[in-house]
Amino acid sequence: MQLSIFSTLYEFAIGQNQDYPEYDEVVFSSVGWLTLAAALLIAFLFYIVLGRMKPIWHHTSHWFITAFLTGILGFAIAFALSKDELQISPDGYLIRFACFNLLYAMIYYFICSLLLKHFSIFSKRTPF
Amino acid sequence: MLLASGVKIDKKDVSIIPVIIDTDAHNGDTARTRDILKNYYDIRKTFVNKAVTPDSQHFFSTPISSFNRLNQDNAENADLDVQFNFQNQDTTFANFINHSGLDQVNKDVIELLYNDSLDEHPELHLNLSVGFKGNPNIGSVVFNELADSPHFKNFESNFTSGDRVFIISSIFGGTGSSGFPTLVKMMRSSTNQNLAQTNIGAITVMPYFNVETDDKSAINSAIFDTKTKAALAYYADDKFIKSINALYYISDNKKPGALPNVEGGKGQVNNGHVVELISATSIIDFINRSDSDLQTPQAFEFGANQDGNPFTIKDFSLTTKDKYIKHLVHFAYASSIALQYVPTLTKETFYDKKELNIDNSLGVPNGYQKILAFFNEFSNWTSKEMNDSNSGRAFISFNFDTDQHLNNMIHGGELKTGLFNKGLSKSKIAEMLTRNEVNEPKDMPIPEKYLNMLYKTAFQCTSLKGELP
Repeated sequence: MQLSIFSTLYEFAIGQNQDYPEYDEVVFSSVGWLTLAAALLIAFLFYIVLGRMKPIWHHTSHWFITAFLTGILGFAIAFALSKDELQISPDGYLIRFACFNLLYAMIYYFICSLLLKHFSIFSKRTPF
Repeated sequence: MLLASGVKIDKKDVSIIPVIIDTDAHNGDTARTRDILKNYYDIRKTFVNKAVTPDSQHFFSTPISSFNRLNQDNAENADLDVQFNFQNQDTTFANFINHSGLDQVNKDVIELLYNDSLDEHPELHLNLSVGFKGNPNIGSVVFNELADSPHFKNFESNFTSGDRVFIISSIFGGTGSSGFPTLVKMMRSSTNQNLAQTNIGAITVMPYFNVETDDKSAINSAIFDTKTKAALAYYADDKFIKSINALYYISDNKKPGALPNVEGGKGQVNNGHVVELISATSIIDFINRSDSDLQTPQAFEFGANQDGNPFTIKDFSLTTKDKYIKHLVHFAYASSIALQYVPTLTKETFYDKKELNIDNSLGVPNGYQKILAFFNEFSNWTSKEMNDSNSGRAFISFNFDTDQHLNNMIHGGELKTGLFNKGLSKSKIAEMLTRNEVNEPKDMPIPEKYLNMLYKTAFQCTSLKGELP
């Protein structure tokens, strides 16, 4: 069941890869969980750690920068884990996978923001 | 200003009923006082929770109410009336005493007592609508009419056991020096025994400023001391004055500069003075005294640690600083923060439309403008008016000139900073404001949250500052 959630998400975006079944068997799940965990951790740092400690990184502009960096991290996770698991040179499918994982990372970060912002002090109304 | 700053009154259920008695119908300073009292009243209704009492740690903690609504259930919802109206004011003194209707003998007596010329300093033909122009010999006659006025009768009939009276007057003018002993006599002679036997406090303010010399004016500061001596001699022998439970005296022999010589009316608007601030502390002192403290009539004078000229916060005694000045410091921080910092911290959480909604004036535009105007009035009063040595001894207290930090706000009490300690910087203030605002209960009305936030932030600023100079 867990495997199929992430597989569904990624295959919906980039289609199936018949040449490398490892995507479906291993890569999608591990990248999916790692990306979600990373987004949650970053949101936690933004809202709960920094957001309750000191008003130094709490404005909407900071939020957008953090969201973008989360996306970059999502891209890096997908790219590195795929390359490591499959031992191939990056091809079009891998790049598309990494790009969509960038987007999903930002979406996860947005959802975690909605959940965590109310526990913050300085970022309570960031980004809205 | 003392009440707005949250100066503590040791009793929970005290309400102050301010009454202005001034025959100068259009006096500029009287108008200013009326306006600020009304603003205080309105601000308290909007920004202060009903559960706040005079002994709470809160700005605007003490309620003030209208003398005109003492017996009404909805008194707190009414507008504030603060001034007794004299009847038949727009007339001359001669008409007031029906001079033309007197027989010749009485006319002659009157003309012996009062100058009947029509020159620049009339007495008999003085128009009462501009006050008594420094003539207590006129005021003492006119004031007797107050006893028959509906306002006084209402006040008299609603006076109950436990109520007290405090009279504030100057001794070197016309209205105060004549009105003060007349008022005391009226109260001690009242048929309402609660009023006749009540605890009465009073402060009589002796000369503390000069006015410019002007031959055409009835006001001459060269004879202020003479008038004072004459009035004091009268008080010393007056049985009613001697029955006052707590009589406070104050004056200032250091009077540099001179105020414009304005006899009365709209143009008489004088800068605030530290003597007036100190005088106001006598009211709080009187309220905080127990009934047993006041059983025997006693007199008080104000003492400071040093005779500074200009006067500064460090010249006050520790007791004065703790009881009064500390609260003014809180209020000064709050004023500066409200006027110079809050409007610029647009990206902070507290500013957001789902928090205090500062952009939309907290949702109460009228109320928000009033409280900002009050803070502005405080800022001008302390940093400009009392700072002006042309008005007598200057009192240099606060500096509101910077919007980047509050480290230099207290004159003579600069906050030390370092590489890793920026003191009361703008970012530090932003942090304190947000923490305090977010900590308020979610269901609290926004105006109350705003004032609570300011109070707590100002309190933290004072704590960070440490000991006053």
